[in-house]
Amino acid sequence: MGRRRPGYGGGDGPGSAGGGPVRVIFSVYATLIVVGLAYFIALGVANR
Amino acid sequence: MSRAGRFVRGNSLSLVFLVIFLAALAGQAFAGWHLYNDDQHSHHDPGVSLARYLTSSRFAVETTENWQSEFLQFTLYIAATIWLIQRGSSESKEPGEEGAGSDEEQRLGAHATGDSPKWARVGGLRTAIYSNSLVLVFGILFLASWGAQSVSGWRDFNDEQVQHGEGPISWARYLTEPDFWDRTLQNWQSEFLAVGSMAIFAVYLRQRGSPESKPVGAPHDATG
Repeated sequence: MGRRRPGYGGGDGPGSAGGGPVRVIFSVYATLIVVGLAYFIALGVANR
Repeated sequence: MSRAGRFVRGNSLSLVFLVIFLAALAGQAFAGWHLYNDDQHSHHDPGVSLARYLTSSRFAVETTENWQSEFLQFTLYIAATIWLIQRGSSESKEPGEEGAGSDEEQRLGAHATGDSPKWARVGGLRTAIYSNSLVLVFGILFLASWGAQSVSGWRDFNDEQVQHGEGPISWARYLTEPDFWDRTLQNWQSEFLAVGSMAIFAVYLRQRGSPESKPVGAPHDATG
């Protein structure tokens, strides 16, 4: 969801998004979801 | 402002939701554990430890049935808003703008700029994949979490069957059981209602300062 903005905007400085700390948060989310799904699938398959 | 302060401020949206996700999951685990043990005691069975509950099919199915519906919601919404229009909604493109857009509009291939992601510049299969990566990833996460719901729900269902003196059923049979579809559809209906109401309420209602809303003074028939 989200309101579209006219044009693409200019960002807020080189490397301010898409790299460094932002990528760390992206990785935390991705890891949580992937590990979580793997864990829950394993629980079901292992008949816990 | 310190480096840490800038980091928190610049990423507060994803950080706050990460924290409240973990807090809600912890609360769900604690409440679900007590509910599970209440159910055990009502059957004159001993309760289980929190660690045992966290590795149970019950915890898995109750978590993944909600995950799958959230990922489905975003998969459908991202895909539907390519082609479907809601006149006057801040969530919609303007009528006439339906479709995937030209390469120039999307800054692909020869139209890419120096700061475009590499996969938007290179063309071919990589650009085709990257052009649809948001829907692809959310779609995969939906299918994976729906699959996780199905296997953990199946194990939990069979536990109940055994407790009631009935035989276990196969996974394929479980997919035809009301338990599977009740868990699935009770989550889907709430997501579809929330998404549809968001799309239409955004025509007439405003939230000052939110990118999810039109400016407060924008006319009701202004789309996008």
